[in-house]
Amino acid sequence: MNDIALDVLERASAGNMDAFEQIYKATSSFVYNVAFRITRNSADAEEVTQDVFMKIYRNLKSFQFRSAFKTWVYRITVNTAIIRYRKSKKEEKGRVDYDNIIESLPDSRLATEGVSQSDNEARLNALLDMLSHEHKTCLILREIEGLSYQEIAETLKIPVNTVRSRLKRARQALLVKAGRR
Amino acid sequence: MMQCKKIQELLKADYLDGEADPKEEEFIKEHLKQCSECSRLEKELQAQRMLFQGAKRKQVPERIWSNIRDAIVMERLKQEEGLIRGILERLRDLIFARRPAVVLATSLSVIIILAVMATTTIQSRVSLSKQNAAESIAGYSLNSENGYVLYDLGTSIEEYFL
Repeated sequence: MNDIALDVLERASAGNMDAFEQIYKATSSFVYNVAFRITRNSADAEEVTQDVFMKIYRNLKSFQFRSAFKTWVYRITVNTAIIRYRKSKKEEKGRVDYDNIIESLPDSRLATEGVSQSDNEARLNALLDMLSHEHKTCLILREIEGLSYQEIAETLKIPVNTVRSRLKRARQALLVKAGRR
Repeated sequence: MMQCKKIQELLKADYLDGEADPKEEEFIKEHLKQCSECSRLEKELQAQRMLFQGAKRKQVPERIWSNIRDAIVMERLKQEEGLIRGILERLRDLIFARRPAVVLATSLSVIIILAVMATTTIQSRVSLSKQNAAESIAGYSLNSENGYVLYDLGTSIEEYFL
């Protein structure tokens, strides 16, 4: 996600809809994709995206620029998506079939052999579903959105060393689930 | 073996993510050339990473922006309505405020006005009664002088008022 010019933020906080649309265009892909990966559901991802931008709209005036605007957006996105995911999981408790998940875990052919996009998606979702939401969030921000350790730490308000250890544990857990370790 | 454990920890985070410092990275690369166990782990981690990197980014549905825009317009309208309602409520409060001092002053004013009106009315009725009484006693007296008494209601008190 690119940084957004200060004047755009100021105009948006003054109620200018064109400026707010610029913010939306610059950040919506991140918001939607992170929401989709955390919730694993496009309807939930849509709802989260709308919620995130309404929160940004309502709170832009009080945004103090103590942190980078994009870090603020990351944080709102992750928090809103996790809340939505927990709510959905409560509603659909018992829906996940762990045997199917383990069967669909990736194998080493994946990197070298042609695997269809939908298979890849299914395996990725299955993998992510095996992790705790803390580990999953770290992995999504790092692997899919390419955030640095520092950015992840600021987004999740945790020390950099915690980011490091969560990534290690998440990767180790995925290797174990895939039967490689 | 101890060295492998440390390197494997680095492989799962800093090395894989490009966050290791150059010296560390160089050292690990040299180790991987010699250690099949660590080298195998590195390959597995890279394969895992390919899965994430192969994930297609989702296109944001266009309807989301129009929904957000509509929601903002609705919210602004509600805020404006709220503002107008707020002004009207403040005006109403100013006009019909139930402040103790105002209530007391108003009540006292009403009591005083009612008392003055009542006093005036009573006084005018009393003076009329006196006049009527005087007239009737005078009438009876006149009749007494003529020796034609219908009712003899005169008393010493009535005479006193005459």
